[in-house]
Amino acid sequence: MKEIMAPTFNRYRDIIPDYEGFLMALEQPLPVAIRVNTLKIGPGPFQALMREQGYHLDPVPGIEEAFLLHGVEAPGATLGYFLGYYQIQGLTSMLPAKILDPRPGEIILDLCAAPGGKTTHLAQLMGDRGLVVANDFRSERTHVLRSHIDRLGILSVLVCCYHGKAFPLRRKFDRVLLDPPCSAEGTCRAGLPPSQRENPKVARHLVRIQKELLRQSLAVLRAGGTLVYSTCTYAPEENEAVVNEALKDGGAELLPISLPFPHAGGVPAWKGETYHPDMVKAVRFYPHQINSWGFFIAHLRKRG
Amino acid sequence: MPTFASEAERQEILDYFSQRFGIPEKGFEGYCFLKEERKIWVVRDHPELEKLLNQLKVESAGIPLLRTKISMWKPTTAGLQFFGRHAIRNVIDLEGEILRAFLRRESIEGPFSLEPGFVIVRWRGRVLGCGVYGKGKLRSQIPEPRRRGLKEETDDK
Repeated sequence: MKEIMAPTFNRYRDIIPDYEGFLMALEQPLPVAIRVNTLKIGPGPFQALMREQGYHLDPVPGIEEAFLLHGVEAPGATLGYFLGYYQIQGLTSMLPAKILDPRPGEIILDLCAAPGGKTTHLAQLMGDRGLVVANDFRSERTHVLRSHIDRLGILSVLVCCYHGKAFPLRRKFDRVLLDPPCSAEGTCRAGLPPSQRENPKVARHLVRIQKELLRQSLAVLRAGGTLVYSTCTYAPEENEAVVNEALKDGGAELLPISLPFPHAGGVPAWKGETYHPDMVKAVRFYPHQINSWGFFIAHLRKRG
Repeated sequence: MPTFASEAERQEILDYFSQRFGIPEKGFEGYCFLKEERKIWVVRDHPELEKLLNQLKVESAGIPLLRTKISMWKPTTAGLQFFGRHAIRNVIDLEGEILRAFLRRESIEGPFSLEPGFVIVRWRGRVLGCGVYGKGKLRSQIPEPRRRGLKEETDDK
């Protein structure tokens, strides 16, 4: 596994701290992480129910609604899942909604929402009070998103099917979550498929889409509103370089992120390109630091 | 694109849930009903909801609550899982082998103390979804994609 992964990630040798430890972590299978749907059941009663059903759960310090579920072959086939008591979701995938920190009553846009883990988490964090517009242009994926909304019993989500870069500008949102298509290098773990990034044409195409989507996201964000940009990839071209474009004209600023998990800051420069000095406020998650997907998150505010 | 139910249509929906399941009207306070063809959706009310629905082309809002065929109205499993907790009529709790048979979509021989028509099926007070009762038999109306893959773990522990 290490030999297979090494060529893919060698270009990051200088930016990933403890690179050998990183490669070792990729050989480990990903634990099953779940998020309790606190709209339906509290973490305490949920734990009691699952234990009664014979499951072993470990809480995750720092995310009260998160648990690691052990010894389950099909975590989507339990009665608890059927009842909408939890969502299967990687630990790092739970962080964008937490960082965006939506408040009850607000109107939020999730521009690339399917399959819906982050959308339903946003609604949960708002107590299902407010409105979340969940957009995704792939209708076969909004079908999955809607099935999660139904199962989890979320009533504050409106589903749209626009091309993200053509999302109507007539509506301004309090907060926007942008988790665009990416090369998904961060999902490379034992038993999972390799990255799309190895194809340079695909990589260039993704970067272009990501920049267009971030531009559109900022355009539909109200002045003073906040935005989270996240990907599950390590490539600075898809992360810092994309965010850097948005900072260039001074219309947005990067906000600091405070998290109770080990992480690295955004990289200040890559392949001869130097980024905005605030880029270190973005965060990078590596699987040898937190046992989950690799992830990048930037928190921005639109200036008034 | 869903549109708002009129006041008369809202009252008709509230009456249905009150008469069939004994769900009080206040159980639906704070929620709006939207209609689209023969489907009723229920969505959290918000001061900006109407404006948002006019500004955007919305595929769905909230969760589906009812299928309103001319011959009959059918409550959805998603809707019953949410609002069924308030129900006091046409509710049945299943356990053990009977529950497992229900989840396998087998016909359960009654009789049960239920009125013919759609009923709420629970496990230990937790709403599983919709069933239909008729001629002394109870059958599952839980959508097949949701039921599929559900591991039989409802042993009495």
